[in-house]
Amino acid sequence: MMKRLTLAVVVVLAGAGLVGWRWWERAEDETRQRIRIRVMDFRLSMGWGLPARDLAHMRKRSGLDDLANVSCRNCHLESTNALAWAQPRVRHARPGGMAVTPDGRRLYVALPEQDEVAEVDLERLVVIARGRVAGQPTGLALAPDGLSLFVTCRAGDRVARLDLARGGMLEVESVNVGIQPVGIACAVFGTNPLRLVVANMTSDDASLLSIQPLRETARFSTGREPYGVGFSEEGQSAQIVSRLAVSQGVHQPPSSEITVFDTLTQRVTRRVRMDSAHLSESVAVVPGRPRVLVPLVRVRNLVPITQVARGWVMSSGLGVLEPDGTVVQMPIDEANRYFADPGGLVIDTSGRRAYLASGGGDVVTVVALDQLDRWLAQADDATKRRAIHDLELSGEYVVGRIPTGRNPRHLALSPDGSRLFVSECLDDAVLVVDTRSLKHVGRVVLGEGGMKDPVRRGERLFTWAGKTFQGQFSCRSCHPDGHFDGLTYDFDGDGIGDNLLDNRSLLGLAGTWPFKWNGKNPSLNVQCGPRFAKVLMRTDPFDGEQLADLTRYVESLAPARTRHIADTEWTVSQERGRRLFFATQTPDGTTIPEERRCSTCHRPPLYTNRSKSSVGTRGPRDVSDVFDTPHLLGIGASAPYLHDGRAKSLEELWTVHQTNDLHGVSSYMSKQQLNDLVDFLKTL
Amino acid sequence: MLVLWVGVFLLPAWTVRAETGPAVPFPLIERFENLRLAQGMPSRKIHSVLKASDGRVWIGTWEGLLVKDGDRFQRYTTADGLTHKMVLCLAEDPKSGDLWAGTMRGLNRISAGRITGYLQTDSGLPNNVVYGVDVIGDHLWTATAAGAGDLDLKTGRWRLYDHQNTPMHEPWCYAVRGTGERVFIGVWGGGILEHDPVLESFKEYRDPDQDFHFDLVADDGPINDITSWIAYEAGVVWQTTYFGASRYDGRKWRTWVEGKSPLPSNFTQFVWTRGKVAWIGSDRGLSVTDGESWVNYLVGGKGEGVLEMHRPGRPVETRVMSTALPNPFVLGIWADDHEAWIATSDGLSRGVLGSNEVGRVLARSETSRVDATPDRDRVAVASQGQAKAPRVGAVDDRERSYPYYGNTPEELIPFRGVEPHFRYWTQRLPFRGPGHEVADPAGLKSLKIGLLSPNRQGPEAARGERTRRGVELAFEEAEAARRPEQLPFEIIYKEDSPQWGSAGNVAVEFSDHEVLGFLGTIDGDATHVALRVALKIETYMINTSDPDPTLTETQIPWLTRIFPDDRQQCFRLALLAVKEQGCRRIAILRENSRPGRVGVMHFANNIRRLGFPPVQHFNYPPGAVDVDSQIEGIQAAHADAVLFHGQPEDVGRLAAKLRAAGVKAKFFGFDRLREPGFLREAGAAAEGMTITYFFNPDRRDTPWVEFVERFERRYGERPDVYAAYGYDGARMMMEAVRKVGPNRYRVRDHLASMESWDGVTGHMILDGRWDNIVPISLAEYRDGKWRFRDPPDLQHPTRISSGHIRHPEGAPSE
Repeated sequence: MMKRLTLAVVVVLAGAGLVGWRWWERAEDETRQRIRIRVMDFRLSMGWGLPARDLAHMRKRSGLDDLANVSCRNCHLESTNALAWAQPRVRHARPGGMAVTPDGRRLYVALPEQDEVAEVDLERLVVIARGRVAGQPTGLALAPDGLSLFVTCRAGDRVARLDLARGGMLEVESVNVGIQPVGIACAVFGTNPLRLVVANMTSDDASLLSIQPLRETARFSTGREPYGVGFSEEGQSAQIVSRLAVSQGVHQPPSSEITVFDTLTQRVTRRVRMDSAHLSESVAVVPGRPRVLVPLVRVRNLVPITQVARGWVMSSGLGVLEPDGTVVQMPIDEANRYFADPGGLVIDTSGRRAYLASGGGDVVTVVALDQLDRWLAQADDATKRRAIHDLELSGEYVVGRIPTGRNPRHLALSPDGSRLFVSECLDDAVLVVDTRSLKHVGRVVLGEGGMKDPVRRGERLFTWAGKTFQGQFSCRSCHPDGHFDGLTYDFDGDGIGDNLLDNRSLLGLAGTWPFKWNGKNPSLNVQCGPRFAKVLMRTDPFDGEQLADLTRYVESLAPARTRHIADTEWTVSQERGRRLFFATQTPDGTTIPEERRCSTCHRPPLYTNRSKSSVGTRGPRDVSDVFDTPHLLGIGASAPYLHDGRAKSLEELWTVHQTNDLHGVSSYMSKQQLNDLVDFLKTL
Repeated sequence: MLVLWVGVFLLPAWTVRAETGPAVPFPLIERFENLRLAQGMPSRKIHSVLKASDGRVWIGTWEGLLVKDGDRFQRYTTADGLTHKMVLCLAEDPKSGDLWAGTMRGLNRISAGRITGYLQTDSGLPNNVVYGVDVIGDHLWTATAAGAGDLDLKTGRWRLYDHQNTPMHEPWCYAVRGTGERVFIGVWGGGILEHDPVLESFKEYRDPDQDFHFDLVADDGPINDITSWIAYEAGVVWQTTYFGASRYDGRKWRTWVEGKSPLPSNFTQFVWTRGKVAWIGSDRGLSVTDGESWVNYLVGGKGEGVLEMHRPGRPVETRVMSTALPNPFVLGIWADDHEAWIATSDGLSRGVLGSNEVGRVLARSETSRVDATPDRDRVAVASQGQAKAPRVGAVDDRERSYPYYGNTPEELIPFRGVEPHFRYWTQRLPFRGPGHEVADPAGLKSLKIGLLSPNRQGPEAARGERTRRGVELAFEEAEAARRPEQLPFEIIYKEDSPQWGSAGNVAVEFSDHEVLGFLGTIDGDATHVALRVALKIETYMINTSDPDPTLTETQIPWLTRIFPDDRQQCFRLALLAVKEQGCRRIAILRENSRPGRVGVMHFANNIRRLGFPPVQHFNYPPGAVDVDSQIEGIQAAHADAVLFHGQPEDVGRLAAKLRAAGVKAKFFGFDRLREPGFLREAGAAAEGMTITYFFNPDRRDTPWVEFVERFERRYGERPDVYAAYGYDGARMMMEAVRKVGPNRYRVRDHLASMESWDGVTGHMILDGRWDNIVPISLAEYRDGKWRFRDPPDLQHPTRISSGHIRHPEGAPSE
């Protein structure tokens, strides 16, 4: 009996083995690979190590002898579907742009995460209606007659018009504009019809729209990442502020732009440079005075970060654009206290007070414009130039600081100026402040705040400057909306003047370990933990729970989008470029060495093999030639390039900074082919 | 005589009947208001001008971009972000008001004072040398030295059009103009390309003559394939070339050449249209025409303005104007119904337009057609024995004739027996721009001469290195012989094609270094592009090593080539093969490349003219090993001769394969086969190969022998032809600079006036296109040696004192 049983078991096992072997033989390579990887994962998790053959394979493919941070997953990530940013998220009632009706009875609030616009009764401070607007409604502009609400749909690359005349909010028409429209403003000039100007953040341009019907009548270039739009008092000129600064070289001071556009002649009449200033998100004209105010961050990226005190890294300010086109940068920080991430700005109709939201400081700063004027009148040019560095100056004109909930970004004033509405973005509420007493008088609750959501909790930490020395900056200060500021920094830990580092976008970062340009940080926990505290925060690091939440938030950030939503087809050039990217041979049949193929190091789906590599890009002050292979998702939106930001554009990687085919074999390419390759890369 | 001249100018009003008559159908310029250095121009040379929709006038100069707003000027330079100081072309985006400026190094977008630069290294711009620019709808088109570029202003995407994806043979684009429905690209050597942006199709218009010698038949197509500018408006395309001008209305072509039409000069370089009226800029002035009536604004010998009016069926009328263009070399034009802005080589001019009534006619020609004598510099004024009207002056009005380009043997003259509508190259083109009188620059430390060499990684690297050695030896010897009071010479080294055929970009750098002239290079592509830049930067080039026969066909008067080209070699080979050796079934086997294509072009034409067209014409890729199908084809054609063109190693290998396959045909080839690579690969198959060669390297004349000794002493090896011509070219250039001083224009005049020159390579004879047409030798490989034959005597006379063209039948033509 036992013998028969044993025999039966042997036969069954043999049969299973035979079937399994036959199945394995017939299985597709991809399937076999997937199974092998899982087996390897299991072995590694059990601490059993890997077979010599596989270790040799990994050494060859990675070019590394030390495989401590290398696994099969470096190259064999099957899909991005499992990554955090590909997962469904809780959609909170985060408030976006706001608009108050002319009669002061209603407030409209964009709810970008929920694809809705909320209508608030300002007497009762409650939401009385919600209208659906697809595509992440972000900015709002209300027609002067209060009958139409224009909404920028950031994810839809369009502007929608909601009809308010019949009660409710019905979307009645829509027009495509540039990529990721955010700021919007409207004005009427004389007897001319209403015009709208929209800032298209990712296409670096702005649209002029006419209504009846709603259509784009002009598109003009702006600075980099245009964000906020304002109109002159008479309604003819629009000002568009751009968030990112651009510099002409690694050691050159950056500057951002205020674009002044004449909506009647449809001409850009002025481009004002703001030196060493960036992250301006709004703009407002001072009524009765020929001045325009722009919140800004004065960045000092050319100075090694040897300290943080006294605004060493950055400080917040207000740009005063004079009629002659000069900008005086005035501080709003104090010597020992900072108000990071200035965002929304409104000025009352008397022109006497400006209110500025500091998203990182959870504060609204109140500026007395008469006092500011007085100071400006008595200051000479040299004093004005130095003003931004004098952190004790703000006492001359800052008359109040209103504490708010988490991450105030947008502001609106009631028509009579008596009430200030503050979007508390990470509290899902709108704070109402009495402008006479500067006290809270109410709050419009839009949602439950999201404290149960670790991603939301993480975002709060990300946007809060409270964890840095004197609240000087938050993570968002260098990574607005999780992206980047396009600048190069010098951290002192590795030598002053050495190892300059290009700031990188955090969008699409999930799964792209290790971190830091030299690949030394194996995880975000290490990247954002003690190191960040030591090098930048100069305070206590995040605790374990906070770090986990912060990491969850960062990992939830999807890759940057660089194509218009309507741009669904691949062009012929992009397809040619794709083939070049994946080429294993040059056109004359010469084999490209495996280690020099684009797709080896920049392996899909993340376009990184998550290993370090030497591509000949070491600079004169770099201690090493080996750098972490960056992922390429959203690469089109993250100029400049290379570890120190020396390549202005993707083309320069293989032209000005060509490294004898060490950074991929490209010397055989014609200009057409290089154009094709760049075209393809910009689709990622 | 003086009294008569005075009389002409001061004739009382009553002695000349003021006439009115049918007007020309466009307004006349009443007066010129000139702006030169003294009036605020930053340079003499003004390349381009555009009046924007806001009324401001943008001016592209040699020293930056100027904008005139009322009486104020504002200048943008490289310090303001302009990519290069030489601004060649301008266009306004009517939607945004942005100005686009093409320069010698990059494209610029000027918007409300902000300049954004685009280079080929940091954007999709095809090439940094931007000759033409136009805004068409939401697209910005550029014509560059390496293709046409289309930038979608909304998406920021570039499209590149060149010889790989359009019918153009070479990617050298010089002008672009269009509407939303069609875009016209002026292609150097490619005529006109018409692009339909919707269908994404191309159509080309080429000169039907396919020979730059002449215009065979008038009004048969584009006057020439070297398009210098294009304009398109109201359904009419206008083309300017250095060989005349053309117009196409969609059905018919009209062409104009000097001497046979009112066009004052064939060297036309710009055209602007206003409706159906064209404003044409040439080196002799400004012409305005609707295709029927013409008004030429010329500059007399004394600098006075001369207006010449041509109307169909009426005598030519001439008028002396009270003002004149600052210089007749017109480079750019902008005009509307009220004024015309004219960019010239010596200042900017505003032409105030007035009535189109015929004003005070001072002179009228007897004939109703334009005087077609070679002596066109004199405007004929007839009747009443009056003195001749003011001479429309050229700086160089020599009457020297050069009957046939390149010393073409009679039996090889194209269309022999047919007198073409117009012959080119019978006289050397002068340079009529200013510059000769400019004082020598102060504070010079050295006299800079550029050397444009092949890329060190490219196929011509070794030859380029040998050229460089010859050049350096010449410079060293010049330095050794220098007197203390003389400035030393300095070589400025540059490589062509550092990336994507960027020889043009590199040549611009010579201007940045302020060289007085430059030498080089080998590759025809690179040399053509560099030559076009040489014209713009007005710096003379002596080419010492490029055999491309098309190089000198462009009529650009800034080049001398001392290296006998493939045209000369083709003459010799064709006559040798057909007439001397009696070959009748000749096959051609050449490298699949531009040098291969143009290298055998004239041979194929020549043997056809001799009555024996090629029986096969094959090509092969460089480095080819498998040529079985070509061999089969040659065998099937029963070829009794094979002409090879290609790298010596490739030809050697192919010759061996042909012999191994049993092909017994005679083998002919070009000079390069004397390099060791041919013998090494050919082995026994080299026996009997006959090539053209420049001279017998074993000759015993003193200059050559001594040069060989000095070269061997210096470098430890014998010089080859590349070293020798490099040496001669360098000496020729230095001699010119020493003689006339550090002035590029005087250097040009000196070099361009040479008829002959003696160097270590021998006696050079320079023809009407500044090509060395000295007869060249032949060499046959026999019994292990190259055996040279002396070159024949120069058969075709180059001197014809009467100034008339010798008719092929022997009788002088009219």
